[in-house]
Amino acid sequence: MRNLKIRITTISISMRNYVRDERKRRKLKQEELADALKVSRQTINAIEGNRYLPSLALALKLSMFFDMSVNELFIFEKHELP
Amino acid sequence: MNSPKIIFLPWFFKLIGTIIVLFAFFLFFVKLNSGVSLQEFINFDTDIRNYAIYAILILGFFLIIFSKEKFEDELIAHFRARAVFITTILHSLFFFIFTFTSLTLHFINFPAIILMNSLFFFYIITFNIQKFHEKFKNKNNDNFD
Repeated sequence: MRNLKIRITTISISMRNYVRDERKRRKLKQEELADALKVSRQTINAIEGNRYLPSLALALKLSMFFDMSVNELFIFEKHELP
Repeated sequence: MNSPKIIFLPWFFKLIGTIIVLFAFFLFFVKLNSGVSLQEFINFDTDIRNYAIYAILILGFFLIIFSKEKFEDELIAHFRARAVFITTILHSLFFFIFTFTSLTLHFINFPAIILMNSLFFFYIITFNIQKFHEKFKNKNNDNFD
C-alpha cells in the first residue's frame, strides 16, 4: 500500500498597491484624486494605507486614471509558510 | 452588471432622527424622575406611555440608519455591510444573555421592542465606530505632498 504524504501548507496572501507613489509622482493631492474618481478622501487614504481593498470598478478607474494596468498598480503577494 | 442600489432617505433625515432619539431620551429621564423605577419602566405592562417612548426611539433610530451619508461611496457601503455582520453577532450574544438573565434571575419580563431597539443601537454604534476610526486615521495620515 502506498503511503500518502499530506503536506499541509499555510498560505498567506497580502495585497500592496502603488496608488500613493503614483499620486505623489503626479503631484496630486488625495482630495484631487478623490474628486476625479468620485469617491471620498477617506476611501483614497484607506486604499493607500492598505486598510481597504477597492472594488473591481474602482481598481479599474484608478488604473485608467494613472494610465497603468491593474496588475501594475495592485500587487498580489502570496507567501507560503512552512 | 450593476449591483442593485438600496434607496436611502436624504442625509438630513439623520439629523431629524438624532433629534427624535434625544427627545425619546429626554422623555425617558422625565419618566424616571417622576418616580417610576427602571424595572417598572422596562416592564411596560403597567403603562402604555412607556411603550410610546420605545416607539419614538425606534423611529429615531430608523431615520438615522436609513438615511444617506453626506458623501456616499463604496467605503461607506463596506462599513455598512461590516456593521450588519458585527451587529448580528453582538445582538445574538445580547439576546442570549438577556434571555438567560430574564429566565434565571426573574429580573424582568422584557418586551420584544427592547430587542428591536438594541439591534438598531448596535448597528449605529458599530457603523459609526468604523467611520470615525477611518476619519481619525485620515487625519493622522495627511500626506498631500
